[in-house]
Amino acid sequence: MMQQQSAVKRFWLLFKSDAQNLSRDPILLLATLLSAVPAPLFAAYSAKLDQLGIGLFSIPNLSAYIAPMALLLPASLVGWVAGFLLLEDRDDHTLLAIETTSVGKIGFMSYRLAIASAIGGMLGLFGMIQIYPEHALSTQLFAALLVAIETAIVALTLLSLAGNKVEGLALSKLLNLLMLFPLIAAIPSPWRLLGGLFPSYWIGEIFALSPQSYLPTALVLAVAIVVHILVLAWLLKTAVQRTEKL
Amino acid sequence: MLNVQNLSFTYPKATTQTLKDVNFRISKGEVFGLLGPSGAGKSTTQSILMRLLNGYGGKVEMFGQPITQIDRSFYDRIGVSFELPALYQRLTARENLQLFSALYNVPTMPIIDCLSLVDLANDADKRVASFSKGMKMRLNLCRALLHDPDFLFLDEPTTGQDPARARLTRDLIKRLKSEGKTIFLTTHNMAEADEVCDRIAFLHQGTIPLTGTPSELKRKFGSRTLEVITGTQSAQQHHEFPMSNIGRNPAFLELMHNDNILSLHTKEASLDEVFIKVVNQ
Repeated sequence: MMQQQSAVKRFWLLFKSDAQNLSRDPILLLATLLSAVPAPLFAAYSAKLDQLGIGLFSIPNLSAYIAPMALLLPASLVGWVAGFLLLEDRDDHTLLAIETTSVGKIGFMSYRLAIASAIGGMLGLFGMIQIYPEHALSTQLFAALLVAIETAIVALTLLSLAGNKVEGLALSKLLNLLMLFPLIAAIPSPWRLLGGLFPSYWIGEIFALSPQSYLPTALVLAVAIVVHILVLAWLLKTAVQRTEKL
Repeated sequence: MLNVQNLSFTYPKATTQTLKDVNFRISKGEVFGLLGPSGAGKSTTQSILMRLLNGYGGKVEMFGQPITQIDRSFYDRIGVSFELPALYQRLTARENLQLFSALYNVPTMPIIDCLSLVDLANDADKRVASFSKGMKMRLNLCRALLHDPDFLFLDEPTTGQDPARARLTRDLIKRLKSEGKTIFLTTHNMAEADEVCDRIAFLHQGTIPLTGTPSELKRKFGSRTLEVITGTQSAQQHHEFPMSNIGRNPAFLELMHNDNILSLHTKEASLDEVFIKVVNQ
């Protein structure tokens, strides 16, 4: 007898399949588990980091510079896992098989990116509560939204720019450099705003790595979200075009 | 069920057309085989029919309307078994089908019933990575059947299968036909096409020079003669008679009274011979 599944059950089946799939690959599993580590580790050792900064490099408040990386690393790891799974789907032709189903490859990619973004965003919020407890919840939620979009950006960057899984591994090393972009926001010069072309820069600007501000807060938030959405849209278009060549 | 008229296609940046004025129709409940050498345009044709390739010329209608005018519900009605296994290697057969069942907007078959169709029920909980190529191909076919589609695209469905398993797959194709499914088969295996296809078309250099039922084509390309082999296994004699007026051929009738006839058969061409003749024309 034929069985019709509810939307909730179908979503759960996809999520369960993804969980089973990544749990059977040691590297993907490790990356997923490690994504929960940076924020609590940072919160536990930030005072020690400050001491080290003064003792070794004479830099006060070193933890403030490390904080954005602790915030972005989980998103980067989750995005990498999602992007790598999509690359694998493209390489192994499962994305082609999915294109011949009712949901289709764009529907499936949307599901995968939505799940990854939700996890990245939640990890971002969890990290912000520990790393920036002094900030208002609204700021934390807004930054978590940016982190969620960045998770999807990392995944789509892999899918758009890497020709296969091997290239994806090489590219992921370059993607790690994106986590350094918030440090540009620490430069006390208006030229630093050029860094704003890269989405990860805006976490540094929002959490005021430099005491010197060149834009009103509302404008920082508005530009940050616009940049994130534009980069996401461009990558989405590129990734879909790339999968057309399946 | 499927109507293809003047189908033409040129890949971007290519200087020659991959498909040139291809025409064919497939009726409901028919098994239609598209045969041809590698590079003839079979995959391109199939990709266009499955709506994976746009930018073609001509008309393609399925289920009574142009395929471009059907929304994604088109994929609720077709099932595709690709030439390459497109499966999640780290998942089991059951988990693969569970995942794909979540991707259809129509009811799907119970997983174990579907696996039984291709004799994989006992392997339901084994990971696909441990499967042989033949098992992967059977799981591919199983996935195409999961949502009980009306129209099936089967690309080399018996690749990598031993003769016994290939027989099971061919029997399944015949059973699907008897249930009213329409099947578009692409294969290099002429014996398979001969056995399961109602009609076949040869695609060569982007055109279809020849189409018909397997028996029509074999007769057309064979000679209208009957071969009789007499003697013993170690000392055989071959005799050939024209089919016309064979019942009044004294030499043939005399031979029929002979009690040492080993075999007797018409000398129609095999589909392999038809294929080679078409390719060499």
